[in-house]
Amino acid sequence: MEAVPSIERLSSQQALGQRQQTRRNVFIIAAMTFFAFVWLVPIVWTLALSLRPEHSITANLTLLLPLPFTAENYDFVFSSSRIPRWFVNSLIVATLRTFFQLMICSLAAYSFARVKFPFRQYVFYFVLIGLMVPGQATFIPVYLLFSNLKLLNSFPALILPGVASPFAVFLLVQFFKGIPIELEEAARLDGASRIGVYFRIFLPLSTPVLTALAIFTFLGTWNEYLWPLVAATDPEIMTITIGLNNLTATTYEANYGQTMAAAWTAGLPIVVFFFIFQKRIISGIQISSGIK
Amino acid sequence: MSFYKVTKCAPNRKILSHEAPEWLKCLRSVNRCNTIRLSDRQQDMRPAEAMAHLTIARRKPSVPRLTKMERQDALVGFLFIAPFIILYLIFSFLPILQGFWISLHNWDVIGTNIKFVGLRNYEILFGKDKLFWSSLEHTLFFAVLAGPGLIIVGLSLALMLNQRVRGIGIFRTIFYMPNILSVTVVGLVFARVFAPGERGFVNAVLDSLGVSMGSWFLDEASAMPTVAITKVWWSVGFNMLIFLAGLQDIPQTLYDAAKVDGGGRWALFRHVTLPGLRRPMLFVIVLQVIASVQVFPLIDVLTGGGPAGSTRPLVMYLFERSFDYWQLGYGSAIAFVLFIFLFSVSILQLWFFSRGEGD
Amino acid sequence: MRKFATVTAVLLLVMCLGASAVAQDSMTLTVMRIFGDCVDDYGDVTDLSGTTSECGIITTLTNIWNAENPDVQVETIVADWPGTTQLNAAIAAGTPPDIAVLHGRRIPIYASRGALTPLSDVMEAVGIDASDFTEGAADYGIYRGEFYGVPFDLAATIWHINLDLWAEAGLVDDMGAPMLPASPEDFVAAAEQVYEATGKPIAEMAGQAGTVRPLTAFIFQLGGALADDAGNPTVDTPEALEALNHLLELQASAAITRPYNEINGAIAVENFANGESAGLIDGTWRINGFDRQIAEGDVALQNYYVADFPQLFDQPGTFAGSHNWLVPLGQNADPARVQAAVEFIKWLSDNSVVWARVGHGMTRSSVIASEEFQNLPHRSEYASMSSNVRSVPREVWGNAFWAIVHEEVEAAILGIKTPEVALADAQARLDDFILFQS
Repeated sequence: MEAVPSIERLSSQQALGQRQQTRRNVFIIAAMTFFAFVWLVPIVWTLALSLRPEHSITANLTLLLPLPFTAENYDFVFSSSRIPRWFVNSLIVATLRTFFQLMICSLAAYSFARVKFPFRQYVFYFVLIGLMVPGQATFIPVYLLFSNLKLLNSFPALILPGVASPFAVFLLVQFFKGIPIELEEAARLDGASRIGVYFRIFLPLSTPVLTALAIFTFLGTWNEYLWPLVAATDPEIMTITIGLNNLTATTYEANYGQTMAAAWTAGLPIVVFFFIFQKRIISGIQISSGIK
Repeated sequence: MSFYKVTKCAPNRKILSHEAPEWLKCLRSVNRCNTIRLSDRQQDMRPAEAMAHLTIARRKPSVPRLTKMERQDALVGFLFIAPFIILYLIFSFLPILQGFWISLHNWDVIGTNIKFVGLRNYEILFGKDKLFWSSLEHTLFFAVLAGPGLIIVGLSLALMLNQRVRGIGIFRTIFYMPNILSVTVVGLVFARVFAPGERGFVNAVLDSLGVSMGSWFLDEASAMPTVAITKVWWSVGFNMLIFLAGLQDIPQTLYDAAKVDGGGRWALFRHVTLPGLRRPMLFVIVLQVIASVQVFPLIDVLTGGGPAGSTRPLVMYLFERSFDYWQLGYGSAIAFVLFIFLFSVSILQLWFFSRGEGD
Repeated sequence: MRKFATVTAVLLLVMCLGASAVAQDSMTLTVMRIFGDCVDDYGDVTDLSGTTSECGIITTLTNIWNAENPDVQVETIVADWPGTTQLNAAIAAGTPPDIAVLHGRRIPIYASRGALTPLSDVMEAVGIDASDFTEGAADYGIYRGEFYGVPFDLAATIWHINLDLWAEAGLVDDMGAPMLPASPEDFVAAAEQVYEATGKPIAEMAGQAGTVRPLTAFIFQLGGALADDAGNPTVDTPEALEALNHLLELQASAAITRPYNEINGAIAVENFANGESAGLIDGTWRINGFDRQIAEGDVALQNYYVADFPQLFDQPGTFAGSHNWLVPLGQNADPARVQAAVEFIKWLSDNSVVWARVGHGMTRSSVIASEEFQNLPHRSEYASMSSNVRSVPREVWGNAFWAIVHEEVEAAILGIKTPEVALADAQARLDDFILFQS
């Protein structure tokens, strides 16, 4: 007789918990939707602007709807025969820089986080110096370097300067230090080499942060302005950000429609790229189950 | 002090002998035959708290290392950082050194009129350059305004979006989306969002609500806060990603254990989430300080440093001196002072965060 | 073996081509310019009719040159406005373009460092008549008596007027021209008349068009000097203070302009196009844009008139910039190369009337006198501008002057500084700039 009420109580508690859970989820979704709406307004606006004729923009700028609708701004952007070329250039530069950066910096970060070598802390601080000096202060020396190497207007000039990124090393060291040392010690006792540990434990376990870093670097390279502006003046080697900027730049007018159309043309692939890869950030492998 | 022996080494399933506390049995990250040592104090602690201390206790290597292994490690360590260091030296460090060398000169941006002046640029900088100090002030003001917002909003978004709910990816994409815009586009858009008069976006909304309109970027008092708001909108998505990645690294078992222990939502956050996010937090804070102190392109496109120079940050001043006034030497001196400042602050932060850590 | 033969053949072919290229004595000149990239629309166009945009005109002109001069081909590098970032980097690396375009106020600092090739003799040799440049315009290309740039246009600050709104206030004469004020009192009276009739400001000013440009114009009109005899900047003068006080009065009057912190440059332009202001103080480069919008019939602005910047004091004076073509090859450049470059520049200059379609003023008397120029829209309305323009002093601080004075005047307008303090601060900053030159 005692058992029945207690079971009932238990199940009702569970139900209560579930209901609370559901209510909480609904609340979160509602709050998120509200914030997301506010967040999106400027973006929706840029999209609307890119789909409106310039004179209608001049007349009423704050309209969030593409009325009257026109595709002329996109026609203008796509009339350029060089867009595919610039697009491919950007893709090459951003992809290669991201790839090399991830490889080289994660290897260095693993070493900084886990391998004991002399002066490790000091070397790490030395690397951090690179973060503290603004690029505006060093771009003339870097430019002169590439000029002396006769490498201006080449892919190496666009790719190389961002590969050894103190930022990436700093980020990855923080995450690598958080990976339980037991995992590594176990693998080491099983006879795994350092490089094996790095490839088989650290890289797989760091999928979320590596993905975040990849997105960040890819985007940063895609949107980079000052360096490609001076390093690549030849339209054959130009990145899409600079190319589109030259297309839409008139000296005095803002050209909202065309600029926004250009921004969407350059940016949409990134949104898609992000949407695909953001899953990796959240469904990253759980620490313990990642090890076989 | 008690010792517990992990007796079975299958992943995900460990059995700990000798009356281990219930929560320790769920410790999925311990997956090799090992001895875990708990102080009596830890045994009485709540699981999450005990876990935090456990990390420290475990730091000490249980097996003494061989000197040969140490030597090997030193070699491997250097080998692993070598590709990075070589590129870093060529493309970052040498230009920085060169910049310092330039800062000891009068040096035109096009490389003419080069004259060694020793520390004169620094003397002028500290001695009588009012604009340097006001720019520093603006920079710190921006950092104070934008920094906390970027961290708090980023963390809140990450916590809310760290759910396994259908369609949550859409929200993540939306909050991240501003980050994909180039600074030029952000400048164009927000020049209009916060435009003065009735043609401004926010003003149009305020007006329809019967609230008085603002001058935003054209008012000395509101310009910098408006820049900070824009900054949060534009780049909080990246912090959100870092926190999301950090949340992934906190084992679910810790939450389970803490829940078994009867921890409330706040307790979970306070004792499991926050300690678990220590390293991402360190990264974000250090980075945010550096990025805020180096803010320039965003302010350039939004206010151009105005009105009347009231939002001119240090790097913009450096840029003006170097490229508009041609005083590359003086601009480099500003960069070097900025560097010393950032380096000291960052080392302090790193030291502060790494107190109580083994290495 | 066959491979070897092929390689040899290819090598020989390449050498022959190289040799023939040398034999033809052909040359490729690089031009680094602003004005944007429109190769897709104007890539092969060699017909100038109907083209009114800066980019379209300059691209077409280059195409025509390349078609007519097979042995001196011109290659364009598009630079980001104002064109200095890429140019400075290229000069620093010792790989400057053969030709570049810069604003006149930026020339002295380059010339003083020997980065520009002196052009006076070459100009004479290729037949650019220096005396053909109008007095005000020639200044922009000169530093220390020598031409370093060939002034292409005058981008002046002028007064865009909505005639319909002026007519409502009874300020349009029988000829259909606005009755322009000729003194500060007239100006305020006219403004109040328009404001009473329409509720709209007569001369909206935003951004730099409300600070450094009108201030400098008023200083010129008051007979003030911006430099002393030694060429050092003088902005803290009685004339400057009078000009600033006058500008502050204008800025404070709703009949003249909306408050400085309630408009920005883009909004002021839109206000004018939408018939929300009776007048706008802005550059010559907007003229064609307004005309085009009116022709397309989608703006409230209908009867559009272009007047010179308000001439309110004793001496005529209008503030203008000027795009200059120059040769950044330094002082020991290869004479043949310099000559080829200047020949291209001469050709551009000879055809500059096409460039005037944008709205810019012209620099050569012969061009101004030409029928083609006189037939351009509005030209008679602001003809006096050409003779009224004045350059900022031809000194190394010319460009720094622009940014510093803008900022300090802004502080005075927003009430952050008193006019006296603003001018004193501007002077101190310019003095500091000079200090670095020694």
